[in-house]
Amino acid sequence: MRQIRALFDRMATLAALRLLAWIAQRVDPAQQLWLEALRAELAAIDGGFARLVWAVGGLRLIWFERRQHVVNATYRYGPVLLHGLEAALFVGLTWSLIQHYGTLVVLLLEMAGLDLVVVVLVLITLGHVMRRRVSTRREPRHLDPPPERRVRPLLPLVLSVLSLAPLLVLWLSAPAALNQLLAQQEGLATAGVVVRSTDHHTAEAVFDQTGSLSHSEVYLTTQVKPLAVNGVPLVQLRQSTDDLQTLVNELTGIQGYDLAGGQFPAGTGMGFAPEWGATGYSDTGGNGLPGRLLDTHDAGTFNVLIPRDGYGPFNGDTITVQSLITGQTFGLHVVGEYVPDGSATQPLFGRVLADDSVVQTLSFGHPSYAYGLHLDVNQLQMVFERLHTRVPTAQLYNFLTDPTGPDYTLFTDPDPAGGFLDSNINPPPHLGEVAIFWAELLAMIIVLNWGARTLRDHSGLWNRRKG
Amino acid sequence: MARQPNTSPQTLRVLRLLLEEPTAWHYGYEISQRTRLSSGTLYPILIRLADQGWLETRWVEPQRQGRPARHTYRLTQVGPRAAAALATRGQEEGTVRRPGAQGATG
Repeated sequence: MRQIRALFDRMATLAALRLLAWIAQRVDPAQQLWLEALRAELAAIDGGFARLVWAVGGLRLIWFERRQHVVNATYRYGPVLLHGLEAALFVGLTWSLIQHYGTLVVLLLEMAGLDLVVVVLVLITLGHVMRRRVSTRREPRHLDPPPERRVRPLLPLVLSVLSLAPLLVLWLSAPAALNQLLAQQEGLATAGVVVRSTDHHTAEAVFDQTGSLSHSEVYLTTQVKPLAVNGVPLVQLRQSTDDLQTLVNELTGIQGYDLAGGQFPAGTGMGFAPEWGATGYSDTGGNGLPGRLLDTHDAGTFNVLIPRDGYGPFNGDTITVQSLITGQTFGLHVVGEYVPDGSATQPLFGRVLADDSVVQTLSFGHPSYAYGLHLDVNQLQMVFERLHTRVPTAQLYNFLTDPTGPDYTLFTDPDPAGGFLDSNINPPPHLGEVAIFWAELLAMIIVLNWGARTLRDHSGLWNRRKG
Repeated sequence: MARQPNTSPQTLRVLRLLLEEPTAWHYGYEISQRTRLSSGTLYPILIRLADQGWLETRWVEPQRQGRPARHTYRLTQVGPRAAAALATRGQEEGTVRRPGAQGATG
């Protein structure tokens, strides 16, 4: 029994020596002296197992030294890495938005945001300079107390790394969120589709299958041939060919509203304002009567609104138009002029606005159906392609390609060359929403940085001295 | 939360032991036995105290031939005052009291 114990003792001692030799190969040279000191004590220890336990403590010298290296490297490169990641995420987010929207608005906002960041950086630098001055003045008084040792240094580092997560989520979700925001704008259509009456059920079936479609508006439209104003042929009203063509274009498309059902032309962005009321807008230079908006009393009549161009026709005039289907002529009575300013909150597929019954009559019961679609711009091309497959004759309009262009809603100009399949989508600038979003993003970045910095300063993460 | 250096219970145990005989030299194994600290805990403390100038070290020749020289430790001249203040405060605040640890400080 005693021999067995002696054998185990020797084996344990041997293991202790081997372990210390193994540690000696891995320990930092600066700690070799301390390892030697630890090894020298082995001779004073009774019992092989006690020696082995003593030797196991030497492992701590490896961990102790390596931990210092890791922590020091973390202190040195941690802030750089974190700020680099934040900058990369910020640039990536901006770049993805620019790629997605391609609008100068984002760039302008970013410049404003960068100005803000510069201001914050200057303030932080000033704060550091002032703090350093204060600490320099106080230094002599702090000679006696030993330097503080900070604890829990890795907690703020972990929090800082975690603080990057919201930025990443924002990066991934911002385009979709902005799209949703744009699509939900009341009255603002992303795209327009005009189909023949025989195809409108098919088109609506396609829309029903489009998940990104938040809502749509439908209007009856038709095209006519304008002939005369108050019995005077158009060719006599306009001398130049260009002027005549402009007038023809303005009077060719007719857009219907279900006036009896409560669907009216929206005044916003069209030169109408609620306060005008029944007296309407009057700036006709004495050539016409004050105009008014269409209302339920206009249902079943040939009263129409026309775009104002200052050269006539005017309020009170009668425009003679010819149906392209039946060849019959009708007289449209102008009751108001509106001023299209490019920011209309509803799509205009025809510039002469009338009751649905007018459109039905002029189209001989076969009007076209025009849809103002409010959908995710990312899905626009896919929806258009699907619709084009199902309804090849559909006229497709991307209202986002040129929201301020004078002809973007022109019924007679489908403008495929302008690119209803253009992938470079440029939504109308909603300065308020985008500015708020960007301000929130910047505020979040600043707050996260401030929080992480506060935690780091509080725990002394980056300032912890070695030892 | 910032903390003063050398105020851990283990370090205070070592300091109190060294303060009992400030001028005497102590072996590492002896300190380990009397403070009931393992070598893995003790030696990092000794390294830190030596780096901070609180601890003086020297090698002593073995009393018996064939044995290796041993490393010994005692407080430096600046060490006792600060160590005493820390040890006293640690006792007052009770930060060093742990079950089973008091008896080893003896």
